[in-house]
Amino acid sequence: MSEPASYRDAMEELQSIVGDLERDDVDIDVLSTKVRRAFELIEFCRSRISATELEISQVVAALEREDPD
Amino acid sequence: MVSAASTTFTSVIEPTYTVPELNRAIARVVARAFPEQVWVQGEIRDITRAASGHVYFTLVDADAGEPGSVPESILPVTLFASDKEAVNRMLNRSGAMRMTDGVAVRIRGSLGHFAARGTVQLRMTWIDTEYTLGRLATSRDQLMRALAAEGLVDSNAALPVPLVPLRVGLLTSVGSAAYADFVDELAASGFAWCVEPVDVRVQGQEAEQSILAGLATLSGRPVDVIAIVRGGGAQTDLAVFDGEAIARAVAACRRPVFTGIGHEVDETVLDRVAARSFKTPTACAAGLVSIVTGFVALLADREAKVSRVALRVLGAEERRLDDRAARVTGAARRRISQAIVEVGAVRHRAATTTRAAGRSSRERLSDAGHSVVAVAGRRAGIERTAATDMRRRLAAAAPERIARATARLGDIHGRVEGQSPTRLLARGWSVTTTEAGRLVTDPIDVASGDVLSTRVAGGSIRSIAEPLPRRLPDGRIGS
Repeated sequence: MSEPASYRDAMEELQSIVGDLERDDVDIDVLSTKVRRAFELIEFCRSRISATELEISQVVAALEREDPD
Repeated sequence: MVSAASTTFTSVIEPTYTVPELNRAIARVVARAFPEQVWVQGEIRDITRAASGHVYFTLVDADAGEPGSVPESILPVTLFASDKEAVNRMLNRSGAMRMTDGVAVRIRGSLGHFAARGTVQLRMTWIDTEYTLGRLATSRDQLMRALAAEGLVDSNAALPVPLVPLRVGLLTSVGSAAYADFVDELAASGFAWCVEPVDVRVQGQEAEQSILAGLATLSGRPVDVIAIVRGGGAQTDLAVFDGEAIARAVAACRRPVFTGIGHEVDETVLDRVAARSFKTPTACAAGLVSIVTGFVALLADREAKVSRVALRVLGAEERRLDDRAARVTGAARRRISQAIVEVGAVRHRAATTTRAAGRSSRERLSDAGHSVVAVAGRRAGIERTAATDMRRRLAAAAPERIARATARLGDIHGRVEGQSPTRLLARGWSVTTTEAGRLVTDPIDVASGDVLSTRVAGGSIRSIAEPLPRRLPDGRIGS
């Protein structure tokens, strides 16, 4: 499946899947597909969060190096 | 004294003074008219301090007009060195006053006639400092009220001060201690200041015009703030900063004006209309530095906040993700469980239906069986009936058939009997067989030495064959 264009897109798609799954009438044939896709999206979101966290810590560290006070 | 002068002319001559006589006469009149010291008030003009220690100035009417104009009435004043010490003590006690041009004063002294100049002058011995300071205060208060009525007091203060006011227009006497203090304080901060100084007079007759011109110049320059600084001095020295023209110019200025006018007691009008006022040039520079420092601190704080908020947002997102992951897993498991239950239900239904179908089949089978049995039974009955009939018919037909058959049998038997070997043997015929039981019907079938068995009516004869002479083609017997 395609990679989401953005974190927001991923979260929206994920929410949609969660909504489908929670309706309890999801077709068993697509259940595993949906769950797999959901975990792909979760993995994508997690990686984005980690990357953003790293970027923030790097920016902050750079600022602290510029201004030791 | 008037004396009889020259008598060159015959006519009577009016009494005539010599200059010294007249001066002395005037002196006596003045002394009689003003036997005590007098108080006089006016504005100091053209003050000079001689090397001898004496101070000379002219007192003019306080409402005489602008400095430099020619007054209609003047009074020369001398402060001798011997009296100066006492006057200076009074001035120093006031802490805020100096005798300079333009200062309105109330002074006491003795009037006398100065023969060398032919003028009446006041020998100053005392000064009423309260008078001067009071007048300054009154004048300042009046001006402040007028400015307040026009809404000008806070105009400049209402201008936004840039967050980082590093470009500073500086109005001061360039090269003065005030200038050095201000610039040094900025430099010590380490920030990248860009100071644009404009050299102005900060006291005296030309100060006001000079400062107004400087303000106009800096208003057109790309500066963040304008600082007006001056070193410490008596309040009377700072009269220019209580002037209306400068106050109005600052109120109308589109750049925030900071002041650092050295003074100890009251604020000047300029301080009141400026965006911010400080007691000294150094304090003024420090005020600017603190704004920049505050901005730097704010920046650091914002950085920290941004970092905190960003990480908090990320944390929240992570929790949201975890929640969704849990929901996905939970929903999938639930769905699978549900599907298992559904499958179970379906299986149960299927089993039930199948059992029902099975029963039905058996019944159907049973029915079919019954049918088959019935048909078969019927069929068997028919067959039995047929058989019975056949038997009956056979039974009916049998005696005749048997008789006929018996007869025929007897006939055959007779015929067979006629051919019986026993009968033939009895008639003398024999039957010879080899040891192997093969019937011998031709001598060729027997070899010499073969054991033969010959059956005759009375029993069997065993014999061994001998070769017979062979009949040759010519009829002879060969061996």
